[in-house]
Amino acid sequence: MRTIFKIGRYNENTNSISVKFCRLHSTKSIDDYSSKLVSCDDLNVSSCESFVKSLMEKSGSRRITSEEEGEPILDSNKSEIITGNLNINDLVGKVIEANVEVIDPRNRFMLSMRKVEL
Amino acid sequence: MKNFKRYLCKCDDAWMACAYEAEKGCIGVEYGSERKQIFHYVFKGSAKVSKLFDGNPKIIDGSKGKLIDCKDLYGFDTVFEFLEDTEMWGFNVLDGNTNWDAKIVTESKLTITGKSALVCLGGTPTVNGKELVKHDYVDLSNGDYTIDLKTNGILLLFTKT
Repeated sequence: MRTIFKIGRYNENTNSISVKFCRLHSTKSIDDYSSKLVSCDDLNVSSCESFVKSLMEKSGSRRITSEEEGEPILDSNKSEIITGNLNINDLVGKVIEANVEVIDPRNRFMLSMRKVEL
Repeated sequence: MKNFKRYLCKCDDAWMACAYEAEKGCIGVEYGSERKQIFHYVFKGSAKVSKLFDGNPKIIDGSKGKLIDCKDLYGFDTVFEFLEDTEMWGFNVLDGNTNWDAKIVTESKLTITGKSALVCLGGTPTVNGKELVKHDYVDLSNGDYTIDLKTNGILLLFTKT
């Protein structure tokens, strides 16, 4: 996911920034998102790259996730979670939730075990 | 960068399955909080494994008895060094109770008297006439079961003690 942020104000006295975050491909303007006050004391300010990385690690990623989860869901996008035996024909026309956390950054994947009833 | 993949599946409130695929030379680390395996089944390959900084590694080797009790590593930070291209499957407990027995099924009849799970890791064996394939599992209730391993069936029986 590509993300963006916009600093609205920098308070040198408190070394803190007022900043907005969102996804690059958001359908809303970044100006329509709410600001968050972030202290720069904990950020790595040795370079632009380290500043961006530490800001996103400290606050941005979590903020974007929580804002996205607070967004309304279109009626046509309301989904269901499927489990158990697969019949692709039964899925046609349904909106199905795909949990991306089945794959995580530590190379962990879902093992396909199947429960069998005798 | 060598390739080390882990696969996980929660099968029951009491246990879950895992699998490793690792290339020769990979180093793997598992935090104690995630180290829930109590049995390994090695499809191929071998690995050196030990508690972190323990200095007392043991070899998990598929050619020397494929079902391996690893309860001694339960809950400990654990390090693997894969000595060959390796594939393993693991039985993990989720409720903190490591009192399970395990065996490779060789009999044609099983009598179950406690919480048990039967896992197929290869072939097309049948249980009460129902055919299983790799990664199928059955929660067994008390009773008798008829097994046909056919020519290449691999069935593991895990029983809570």
